[in-house]
Amino acid sequence: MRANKYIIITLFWFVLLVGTSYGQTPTITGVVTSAEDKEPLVGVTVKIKGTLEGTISDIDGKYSISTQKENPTLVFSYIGYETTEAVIGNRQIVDISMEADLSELEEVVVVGYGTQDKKDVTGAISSIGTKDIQNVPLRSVDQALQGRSAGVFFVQSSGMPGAAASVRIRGGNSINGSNEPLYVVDGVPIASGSGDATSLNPLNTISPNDIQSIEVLKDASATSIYGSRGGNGVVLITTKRGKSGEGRISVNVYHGIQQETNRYELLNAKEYETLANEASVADGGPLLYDPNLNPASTDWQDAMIRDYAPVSNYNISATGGGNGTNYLISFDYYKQEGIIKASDLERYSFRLNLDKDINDRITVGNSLTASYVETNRANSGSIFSMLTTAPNLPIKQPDGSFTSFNNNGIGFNNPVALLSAYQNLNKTFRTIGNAYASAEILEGLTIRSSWGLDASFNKNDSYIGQTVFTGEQVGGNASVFSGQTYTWLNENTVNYKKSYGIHDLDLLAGFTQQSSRYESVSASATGFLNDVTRTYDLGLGNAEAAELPGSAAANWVIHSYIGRINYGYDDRYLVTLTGRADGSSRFGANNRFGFFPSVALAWRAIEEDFIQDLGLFSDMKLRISHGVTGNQDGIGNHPSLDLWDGVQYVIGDQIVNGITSSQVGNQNLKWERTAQSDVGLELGFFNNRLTVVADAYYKKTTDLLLAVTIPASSGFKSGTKNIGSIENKGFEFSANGVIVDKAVSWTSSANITFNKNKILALGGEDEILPSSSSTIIKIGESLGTFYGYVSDGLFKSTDEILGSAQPGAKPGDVRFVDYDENGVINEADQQIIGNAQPKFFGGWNNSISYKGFELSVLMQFVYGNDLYNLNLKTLENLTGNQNQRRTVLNRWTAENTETNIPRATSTKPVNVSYDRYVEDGSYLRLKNIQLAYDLPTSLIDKAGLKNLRVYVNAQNLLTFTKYTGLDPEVSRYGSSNINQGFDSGAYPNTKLFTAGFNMTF
Amino acid sequence: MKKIIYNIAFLVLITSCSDLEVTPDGINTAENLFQTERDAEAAVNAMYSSMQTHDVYNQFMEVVQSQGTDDAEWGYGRNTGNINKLQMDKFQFDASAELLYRFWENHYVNINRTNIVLTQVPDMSIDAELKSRFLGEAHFVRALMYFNLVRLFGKVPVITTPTTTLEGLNVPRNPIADVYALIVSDLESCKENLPLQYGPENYGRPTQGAAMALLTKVYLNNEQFDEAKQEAQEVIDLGIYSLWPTYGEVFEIANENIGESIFEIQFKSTEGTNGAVSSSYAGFFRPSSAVLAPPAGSFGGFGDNPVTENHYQIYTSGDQRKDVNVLHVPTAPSSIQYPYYVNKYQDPDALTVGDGGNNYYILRYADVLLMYAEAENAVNGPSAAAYDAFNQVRRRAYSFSTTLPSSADLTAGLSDVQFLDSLKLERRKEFAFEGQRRFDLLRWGDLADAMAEQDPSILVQDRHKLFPIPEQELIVNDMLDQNEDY
Repeated sequence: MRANKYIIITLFWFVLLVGTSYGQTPTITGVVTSAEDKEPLVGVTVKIKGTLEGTISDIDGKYSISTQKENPTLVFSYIGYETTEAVIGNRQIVDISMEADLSELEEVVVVGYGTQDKKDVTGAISSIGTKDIQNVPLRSVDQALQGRSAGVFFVQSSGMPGAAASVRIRGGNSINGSNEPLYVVDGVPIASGSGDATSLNPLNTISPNDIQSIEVLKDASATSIYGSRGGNGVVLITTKRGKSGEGRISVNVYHGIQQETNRYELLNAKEYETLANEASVADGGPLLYDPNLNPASTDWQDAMIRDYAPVSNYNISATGGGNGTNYLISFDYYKQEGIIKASDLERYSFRLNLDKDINDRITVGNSLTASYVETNRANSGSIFSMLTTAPNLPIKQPDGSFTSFNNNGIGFNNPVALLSAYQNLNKTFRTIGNAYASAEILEGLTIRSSWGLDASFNKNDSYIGQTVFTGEQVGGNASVFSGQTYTWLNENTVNYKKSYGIHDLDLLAGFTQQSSRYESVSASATGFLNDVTRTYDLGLGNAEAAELPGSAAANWVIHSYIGRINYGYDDRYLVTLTGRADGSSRFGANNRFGFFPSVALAWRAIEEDFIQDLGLFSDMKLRISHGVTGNQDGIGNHPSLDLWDGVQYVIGDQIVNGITSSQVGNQNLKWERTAQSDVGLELGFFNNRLTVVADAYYKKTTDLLLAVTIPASSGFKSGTKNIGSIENKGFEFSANGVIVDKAVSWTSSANITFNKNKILALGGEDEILPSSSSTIIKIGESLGTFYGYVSDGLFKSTDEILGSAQPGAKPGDVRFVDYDENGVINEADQQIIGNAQPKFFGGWNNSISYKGFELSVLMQFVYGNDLYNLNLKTLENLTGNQNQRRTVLNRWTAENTETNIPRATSTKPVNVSYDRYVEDGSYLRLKNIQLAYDLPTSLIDKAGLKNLRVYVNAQNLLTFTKYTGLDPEVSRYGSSNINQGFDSGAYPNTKLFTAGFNMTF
Repeated sequence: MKKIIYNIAFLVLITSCSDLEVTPDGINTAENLFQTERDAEAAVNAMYSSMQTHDVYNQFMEVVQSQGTDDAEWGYGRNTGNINKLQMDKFQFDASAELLYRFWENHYVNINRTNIVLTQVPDMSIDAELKSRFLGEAHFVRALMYFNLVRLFGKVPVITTPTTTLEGLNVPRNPIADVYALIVSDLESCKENLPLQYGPENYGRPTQGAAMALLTKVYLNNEQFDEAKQEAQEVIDLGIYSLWPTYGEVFEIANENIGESIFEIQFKSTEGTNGAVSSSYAGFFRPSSAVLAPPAGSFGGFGDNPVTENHYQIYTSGDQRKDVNVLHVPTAPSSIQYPYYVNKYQDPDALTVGDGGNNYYILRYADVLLMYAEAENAVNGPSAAAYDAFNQVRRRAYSFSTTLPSSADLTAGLSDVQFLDSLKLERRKEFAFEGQRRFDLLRWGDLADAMAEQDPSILVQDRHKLFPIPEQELIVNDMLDQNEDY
């Protein structure tokens, strides 16, 4: 009632004002200067408060503005200066002197176990704020890293809903261990995944809408506080928290569709049969198909790919605070259908972040999220068979059953049948929480203790129904898996912060312990009456064929002591000393504890008069750091123990269990160790309208845990030792600028990273050839090096074959280069044929606003990497047994000899790795383009809204690449450092178009 | 001040509730093993497991024995990309062959497993009889593994202790005599430790008879004919073993481990659920569906290890062994030059390519009889005893009673050389594709001649009588030396 009264009065005044000011257009003029040096300021935005009227100061700092508003207030705003308001009254000339705004420089950055003013940071850290990712429809939090942060190489290795991505910060350090960074969510280091394309992303459970900021810690000064887990870099994810003030409710909703980015052009049935006939005849076989018939074609891709796959997200959050209590509550629902039918992801998540000042010294609070994610995964082989299944096979037989036998009468899993007959349903419930209490026991001396939990419960149901071949063979194949991981964390820190005149001191010491336990059970059964019960009643299966259930458990513990000293002298010279001592249950008794120190120095040169006097810079800081971090992930929980494994044999016609040594113990094992040096320069120009950060780094990783080949006469082929060394060196550059700041404003940020990876030592060996892969690990080369034969076109005639190293070849066969000229093509002729590591990569983000409109455009690029298109090994094998890419229409024939596509032959080509499959993987992509419009306050005020933004967004809209596969952003074995850049039956990436709104009231 | 004390007390209270010494769950370590009889038995069972792999008896042994001789070849039935098999067939193998490395490696995997048993079990407090059986089993398997190695590679490292550390693993090769000394002493101790027979629940474990039969083979191989004859005689005198009336019955799954069987590598069909314990030979050897359409509900094989024309021609009419051993597919496409396939190890109940339940013979009674005949002939010439042992096997092959003279009997009055020649041919027919051919040819010094007969383009050189020590092994173990001319 009272509110209504105010509204009526306001409306009354409004009418009155409009009425009285009608017909007058007074002009106000003046000069805007800087308070510091009295120089005129160019390009200051001058607005009449409460209207859309505005202007810009000219080169002399002069402005001129007319208004009909009675008694207007002018608002002066300028980057790097405090926004100033001036009540005009009846004045015609108003000169304004603006104060420099230091808050821009005093931006706060989240660091390990605390926060720091940006100006005081001595390490290399990139921050991604809410602004950067607001309304961008991210599938998972880590996607925000792509193109937005220097030094971070991100590959979304599969388009499957929920698929993991692979992230490398400043290159990969490890051959056998994990290379994924450590993710820390609100202080809780969480279990991260393998990054493999077919595994699920552990970050799926976190709603991107809840993210306040993402900090990427890159150099040793920033990461050594995470010790043995900091070696691959650290990603700190901080969620939004309540702020004191009026309560707000925000609603963010978007809907969108995904479409395929690309498609393989494949043969139709007629072309396929022609090829199959040609291949058979070439080897003395009969015609397999009647060349006079015109068979019907099946487009297996059409049958499996959705024309468009919907995505939607609903997020509602409430924030606010008062009386020492601040809160954020949010609820999020996300649903993504996959571009391949019968795959999707659904997420429900809830968050409560709370802070309460008990009194003026003690604060308690928590961050808590609980989420439930349900994923339907596509059959891992169905994408590949979608491409390779013969097009002259019908999807269904005349009797309505799915086709289950190929043209050779061999049973196969019909990929279309799999869509309905196959289920791989994963349900994950995960909760990540961290409760803390902190007390300022003396001025500047704070103690803080926190207890955190990361608990995840996972159930996986997979079923192969009886309408597909393998399912029919065994009468349905059902398996269930249930796993749970609880990780708890306790951290206790003491922090002392004090300034003595020009000396600033910030000390941190603490003890943390983390422990994790994993347990799982699994069971499977076959031989069901029908497909009705699927995985939900294994007891109905055939007892005779039953396998034993499985179960597993694992645990690890880390105890750590941390310490950090930040010392600043006169705001000019900054020193940071950091150290962490980690004790881990994973390592041998002889090396259980490791110490990881770092030192960093920074010089804020902008504080020096002689720099100020140059008049060129508005900020200048030089940083230098050196330190050591470690890696202990991805090598199992017990690499140092002797382990015994079960094996089987048959005695008395029964399967009997045996047990034998499967791993020779090595009590001397210890962490992989990465020493990193970093030199960074941060510059600001034009009152920080342009800021530039450049970093050069050198990382050397030693004590790599490698499986060393040992004499097989020991009964073992390999053992794990700390040998081997890798270096990464590189250069990162990023720039942020306000290019135009008038009625139209244009800000732009760009980053580029050059990284060079080199293997330095492999424990006495010069090279390692990983088994069954087309790569080589070789001293002097980088990881991800492709290895195989080099081709030199095709044999054109029998004459060419006579003198060659391939006497058994026929015209139209691939000619390989006999490097050692010994007259035989053998393993010694294999060469390095490519490398999956990019020469450089980066992103360029632009934001242009005009009135309420904002257009943002993110371009992202990768240059100089190769991809190994394993699909082509089949799609261009020319045997006539599998469908082929249309490129084979240009295959070698006696008439068509000017080609590099070999002849058709039913003889399966020797499964060699060679250079034809290696392609340039460079690309430039319009990653994200978004147009948003903030409705004017005047309009939405009436509806009681504080903010209403509508937006449209397109992801992956355009990609420029020479790569002939589906998408250059691909890596089948994402997590592996050895098998990078393979494209093999990858679930296709998609374009995504969304439209949504964001409303606050 | 009070507050500070509280706070510090709080900090102290919460420290360290977890221990860095984590005992792994779900994993066995040496510390908790070898306590009970069952532990010991599990360690014993593990010794057989790696003999069952493709790298030993479930594939490579036949590659070496059949494709690597005049019995089978590579490629005509199936164009595999397996260059190692081609090299084996054409005698172009060198030290880099992966097949040889895996063959070598898995023999030593098993040797290590026997050494674990021989080191751990003696100190266990378990039933004495069982303990001595376990030790006997380990001695037998170790002898078998070293016997394979020494015949194929010559000098090899003799290792008799289990590997427990990554240090000090480089060892030199021992002289051939040392290897045989260990084999003989292992088998001699088997004779004391192993039982004569088992109940059905232990079928598949080696017996005294198996040790004696293997010892016969060792002596025969080393041309210690007196000892060989004596050992063979002892096996015969046990009276446990007898020939099946027909050749076909020898390979029936129902007849495994009884009758003629002395020692077999065990396989079991598991309806396709456990490829690790089932035989792959059915699928590997069976012709592919393109060559011969499989019966409904069955599957086409790989057509691997195709039989040579040279082998197919050795059988005379009436010899049952021809059709049991070889499948001829006259309707095969013309691209298949010699459509002959191995017909042994065909499990009609196998559901998939790798699902056979057929065991793989290491020793059977027919072998003992022919070894006896060979030793007797070497000692006393073609005596009546030699003829009798020979003819038992021959008669059975032609479906005659083994005890009565028959039209199939070996011509009387042969010289010892002629007798030996007949015996060589008989062994080739009787034990076709049973892992004997290369060993026999090497023993007789006939490898080069046999190959020249089968395919004159294949040139067998002196060095080929031994395999090269695998290159990968030479690289990591600098104390090893290579065989001559590799």
